[in-house]
Amino acid sequence: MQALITGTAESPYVRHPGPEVTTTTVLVDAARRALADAGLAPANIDGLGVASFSLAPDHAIDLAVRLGLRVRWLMDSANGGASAIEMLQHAVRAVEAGDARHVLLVAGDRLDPGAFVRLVDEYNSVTRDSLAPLPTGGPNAVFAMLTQRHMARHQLGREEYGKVAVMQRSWAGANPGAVYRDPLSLEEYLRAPMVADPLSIFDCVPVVTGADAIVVSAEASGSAVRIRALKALHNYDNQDGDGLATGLRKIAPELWRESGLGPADMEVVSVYDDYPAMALVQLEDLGFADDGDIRRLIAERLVTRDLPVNTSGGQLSAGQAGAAGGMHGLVEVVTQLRSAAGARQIDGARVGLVSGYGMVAYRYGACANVVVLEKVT
Amino acid sequence: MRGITISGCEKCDWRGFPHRYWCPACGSFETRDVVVDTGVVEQATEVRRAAGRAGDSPVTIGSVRTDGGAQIIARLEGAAAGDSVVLHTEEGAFVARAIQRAT
Repeated sequence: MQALITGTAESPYVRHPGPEVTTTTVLVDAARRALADAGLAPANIDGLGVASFSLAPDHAIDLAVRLGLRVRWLMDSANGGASAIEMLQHAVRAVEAGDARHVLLVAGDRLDPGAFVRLVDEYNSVTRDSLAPLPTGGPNAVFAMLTQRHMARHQLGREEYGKVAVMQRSWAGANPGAVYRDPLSLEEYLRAPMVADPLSIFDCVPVVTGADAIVVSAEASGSAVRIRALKALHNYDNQDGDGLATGLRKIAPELWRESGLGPADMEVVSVYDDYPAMALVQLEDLGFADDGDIRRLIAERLVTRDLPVNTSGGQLSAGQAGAAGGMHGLVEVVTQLRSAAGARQIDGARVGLVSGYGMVAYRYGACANVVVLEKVT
Repeated sequence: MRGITISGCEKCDWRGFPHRYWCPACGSFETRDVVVDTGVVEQATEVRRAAGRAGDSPVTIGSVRTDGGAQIIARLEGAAAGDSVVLHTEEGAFVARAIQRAT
């Protein structure tokens, strides 16, 4: 028996939520929408996974209690941009082992400005003790330096990263759920206010409030997607490298071998776009630029939409709702494979890929995972 | 205070930051604090905007490869990419100041 993704949903992302909105209410909203999408009732749910930066002091069990769910499988994920695929990894195995029949996975946050500052300054002990005191003011400085290394390695200028931001914004124009939808020009990108050289405001994800949810099931009553292969590799290089390769580089050959597919077969892709450079790093790690020519990847495949990447607009245009960021791309690819993407639908898309990345351990992210998905019905 | 404390293996020449309990290179359980005070700036960025810090002056942050190989992140004061620097710890923060300009 193969586990299936049978429902997805997104609680609408907003920049300025009203006072009645809390982290719990956005998670509950996404959960309700996902159940409706899967054609299920709360009594059908026997597994729950939650990823949130701000649900504390509550955990998944508390949300299970608030939702009246009796669950045989339960998990909390604290792994940020890798949390969705991490939870998917465990939920799929649980369903296939018979531990649960319908697992609900939710991810999201309401981060007011103060909560956001506390989150980035106290992200982990090394950030609290050795980065926040400098002050770095969050991860942008760290990824600004990574982007400089990427520019030097691949002989790229700011224009190339601008083309990624512009490309994603053009997809967002057809996504009613994206917070930023107006077309972005390369000129506007290049003259935008700088955050940390060479990153401008359009290189950094806008913080929003919202949540995403998926349902993993033992059987489907409607349209469903199956997992062809799923791999993870965390702390790949012990933070001793330059951050320009992730664990994906090591596990990509296993992913393709196990899935029986290759990069050329992928019809729709979501990579974790905390920054344009990291989106490009993941695409390269996974084998989408096998000649190593990133400029050509951008010009000939991404800008042309020959390879549809981050078709929701990605986090850079749709927004990053805290821990929902990792699940946003998964919801988007599943939506595309279920032919439910409306104006931005990739016609006939049957096979897609989603990668997760995150948890800046000091100089770059330590978590990386990836899943290849296929439409079933 | 001149110098920063990084992590080193008792058994092999691995050096890094932050502190490791077990050596990532050889698996030894014996690691120790190592003080280093010089390095080279590999990247530098001026942080002009940061959440919760509107109105504060820009800060220059650098990625420094310390002598011995450990890569750290420091606040740069009078130093730029390519410079050899002296490293200090001031109120818990790693600070790097240029010894000489890169030619």
